[in-house]
Amino acid sequence: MIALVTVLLTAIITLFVNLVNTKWSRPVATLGLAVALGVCFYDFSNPYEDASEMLYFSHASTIFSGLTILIGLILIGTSEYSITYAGKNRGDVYALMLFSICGALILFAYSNLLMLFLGVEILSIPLYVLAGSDKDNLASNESSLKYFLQGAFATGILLFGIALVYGASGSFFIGGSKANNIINYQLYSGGGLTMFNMGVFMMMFGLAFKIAAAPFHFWSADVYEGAPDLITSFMATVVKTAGIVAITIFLLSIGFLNKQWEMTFAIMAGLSLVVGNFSALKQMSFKRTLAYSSISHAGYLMLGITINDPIIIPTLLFYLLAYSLSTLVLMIGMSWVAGHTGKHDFTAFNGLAKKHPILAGLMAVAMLSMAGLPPLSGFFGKYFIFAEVFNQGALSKDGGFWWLVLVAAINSVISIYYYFRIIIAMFFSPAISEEEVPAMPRINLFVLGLMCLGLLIAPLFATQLYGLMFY
Amino acid sequence: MELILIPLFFAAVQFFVKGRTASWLALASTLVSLGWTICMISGYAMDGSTVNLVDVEWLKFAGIRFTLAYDGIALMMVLLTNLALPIILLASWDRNYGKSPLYLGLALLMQAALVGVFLAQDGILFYVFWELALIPIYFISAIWGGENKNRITLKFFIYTFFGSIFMLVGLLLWKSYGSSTNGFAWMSLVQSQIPSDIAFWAFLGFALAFAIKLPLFPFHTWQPDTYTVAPAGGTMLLSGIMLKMGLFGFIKWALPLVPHVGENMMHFLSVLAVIGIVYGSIIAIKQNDMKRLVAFSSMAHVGLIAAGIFTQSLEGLQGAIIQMLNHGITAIGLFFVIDVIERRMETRELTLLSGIAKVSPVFAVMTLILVMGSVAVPLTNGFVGEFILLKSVFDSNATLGVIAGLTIIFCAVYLLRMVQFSLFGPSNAQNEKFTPLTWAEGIGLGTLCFFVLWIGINPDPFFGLTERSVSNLLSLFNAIKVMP
Amino acid sequence: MEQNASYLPILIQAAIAIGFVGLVLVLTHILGPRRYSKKKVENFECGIESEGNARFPVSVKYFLTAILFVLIDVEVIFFYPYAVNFREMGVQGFLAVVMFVAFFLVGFIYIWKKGALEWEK
Repeated sequence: MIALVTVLLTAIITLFVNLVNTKWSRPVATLGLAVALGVCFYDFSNPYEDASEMLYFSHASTIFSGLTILIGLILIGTSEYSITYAGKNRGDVYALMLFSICGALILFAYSNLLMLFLGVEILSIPLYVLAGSDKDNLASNESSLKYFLQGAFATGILLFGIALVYGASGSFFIGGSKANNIINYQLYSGGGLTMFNMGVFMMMFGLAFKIAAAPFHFWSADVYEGAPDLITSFMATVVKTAGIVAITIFLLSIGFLNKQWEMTFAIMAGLSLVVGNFSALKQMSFKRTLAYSSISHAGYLMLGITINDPIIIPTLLFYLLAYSLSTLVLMIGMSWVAGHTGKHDFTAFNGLAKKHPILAGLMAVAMLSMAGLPPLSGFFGKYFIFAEVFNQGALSKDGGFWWLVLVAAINSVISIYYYFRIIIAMFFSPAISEEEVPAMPRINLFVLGLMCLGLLIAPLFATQLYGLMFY
Repeated sequence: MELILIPLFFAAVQFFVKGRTASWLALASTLVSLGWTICMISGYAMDGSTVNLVDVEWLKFAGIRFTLAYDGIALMMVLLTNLALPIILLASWDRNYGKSPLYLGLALLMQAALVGVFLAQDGILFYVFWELALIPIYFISAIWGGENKNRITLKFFIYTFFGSIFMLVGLLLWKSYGSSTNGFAWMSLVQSQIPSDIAFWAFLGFALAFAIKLPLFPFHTWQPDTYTVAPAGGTMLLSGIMLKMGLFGFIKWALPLVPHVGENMMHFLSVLAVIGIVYGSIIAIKQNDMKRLVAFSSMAHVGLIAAGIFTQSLEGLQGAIIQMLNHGITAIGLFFVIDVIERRMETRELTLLSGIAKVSPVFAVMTLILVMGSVAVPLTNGFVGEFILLKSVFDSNATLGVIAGLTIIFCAVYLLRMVQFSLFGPSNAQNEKFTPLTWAEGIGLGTLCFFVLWIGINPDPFFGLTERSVSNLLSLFNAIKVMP
Repeated sequence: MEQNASYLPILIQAAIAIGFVGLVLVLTHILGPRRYSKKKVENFECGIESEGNARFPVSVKYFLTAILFVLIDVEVIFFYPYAVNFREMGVQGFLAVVMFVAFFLVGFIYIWKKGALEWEK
């Protein structure tokens, strides 16, 4: 809770600091997020529930908050060069990112559907602006408009879903502490099960849009490609984390109704995997490829959601940690290269390993992790999800969703093809680009190195991570 | 544990050193590993017992432990790995890529992963090392490879990754549906009860992974291209050691599932293996590129080893294990020879070579010893292994045994053809380019020849190392109770 | 069936509303006399002759000011329910509203300092 307040205050302070001196906005925002990260430790030992039961900051939601704040910290901290497009308005961009993080934090902790809606809006509205923050770039404007129109539509449907759920149950509360929460809906209306299910369906529509899961993914490639690199990395990590956690909290809270949603989610997961991977195969632009690969990662995460058991929360956390860290390494590296060559194509990376072996090496490690090769975190993230699905399958009579794991496994083989294109470009292709890419600043390289180290050693501490969740 | 840590440590050190220091450090590291292995073997009681090296809780909630242990079979494979590594480094000593710290670091990383594969006692740990071994060899082949390297190495990577992901699914099936009491621990998995239909799918997953790695016909299409395109050091790693991962995997991880699956599966696989023998041999006869020739011959030899494993008899397994060591030695030797020729003559085409023996008789003698070892002439190592393998295959199925026996004839045809074209005949004008062997090449080839003759003349210590372990393994598998 | 009955009045009201509008539209169409002339189809603007195109570009600053006004307007709207419940909500309610206003004030200062309120810049 205090972390949320800290981030909010940081955002406001950043706005005003920017008015005084643009140069200070980045240090101030970074410092504020670092403080917020520290505050998360305090929050962790003091779970907070507000009096009207709107928000509940449990251990799990504090850990997710910590992850999101860490992502923001890394992104803003290393953004010295990727922010230059914003000119004098860079402080505003930072502040909007921080506001968006506030929305994410609310989504980790909501225990009332109104807060879910508010969280989604606080998360999205700054992003509509951020996607278009490169004002002179037509692609950025296009991306902003597309995101806004489709996002507003999805939000509307989400709101309609919430209204229907309220109509059926007479309550906005989720979770067990209040007697009048939504799962006791029979008490309030005479069996509006159809209405309730319709409502849940519409809510899932709205939330699946946010995480870009197929078949609600059509916006993502264009928006990701058009938005400035900094914002794309932000969308690919923070928004995905927040959306997945929001879906999980809601589905776990309606518990027994979850059963009938399993198949829906299984199909959405399979579709996301296949659509994301096959669309990524033929792309020329690395950024676009990452956009499609993020759709397929949404598929893996949805596969986790089909498990229908609280055990998925730490599993999802581990997956999101691995996914976010590797995405950040790739995006920051890409933004550096693209910032100097002006291209996001694979060919822009040709021969990078000759000139900057460390940057290329770190990006390769992140790529291998994304592709799910052991012993990196990406593999264990996938493995934990697969293992849980199998465990559930072994317990149930019909075998659960083992076929979906097969789909996921085959897809992770296919994904090697496009993930390795960047490695081939960096290591095995001669340089063709005329623009010289200068060496990355040491401090940024160091941060990337730390993230790769995290990818390497996180599996060693997975047990402790799981322990924290059920603390 | 040290066997994994030493290469890993020196691989990390390669980041900080340059030039010849890097090469010397890497060589020293492999020699230390080799010495350590020999100490371990001399300390081993030869009674088939399993000695735990390390056993700690890793991912408790997922039932994964970090367990390394060795028995006779694992020791044999570790010996092969650690014996091969110094020779591979010597083989690339004078090559450009051999001087690169990156190459040395990757080779050492590969060594650590391979040792891990052979020692791992936990399914997931095995899988982790299995995949870890794939990454360095991919980079070695793709950075220093020849023509079309990007396409071929990516095909190789996707092919093998495709197989191993199904092995992961198989492991998960085995653990989730079996009554394993201790997670992925090997012993617990082996003794678990598993419904036969699930076991069938799990076995299929394992078999696919191992068959692609071997490679077994018809999963071999990645092999000749990759062997040809990879630099000599990479080819040696691939053929000498990496392919043994598949064979070892069959022995340790796939055979325990056979009682649940039924023997028919084994007959089917034996037929595939024998087809591979004949197919590989016939294609090898027509090759003009020496590297491709040896690649196909390797496919034939591995087919025979696999057929021996599929008999599930003491003789078959014993023969397979000793032949794995032998094949490692001779395959590395032959690729070494080809590299020596290629470096001087700048070609691998048989039609362009002639009469090298006249220029360098020492080299010719060493080559001949290695070729004899591969052809399985008595008093060389190949004879010991192939004889026992053929006998075991013949005992289990006479028809297959006879067809498999053709391998010796075929092998003699294509390898002697290679020797005849390149070493003998009228001396070629190009041959003055053939400078004498360097010390690194001399030591490398000499060691290999020494082992060819040693195992050929006195194979007993090698058999003794694994005999009790194999019989223990077989009695363990025979005691598996099948779910009704 | 019970909850269906409770929606019946809404349905009836909706039917009447749509029906009335439809009816009036149709009736005026049929009953009204029609005579077209140039003056009649022209835009009517307080008797003044219309000049030029209605869709000429307006300065974008106008929209900015309008939107900022809407924000302040909404703030005022929130005061109405608060004013009604002023006594019941007590000190805590007062503090909450002060916080709300403070946030608005911060936003106001920001747009002021940013120069959004200056027409000529």
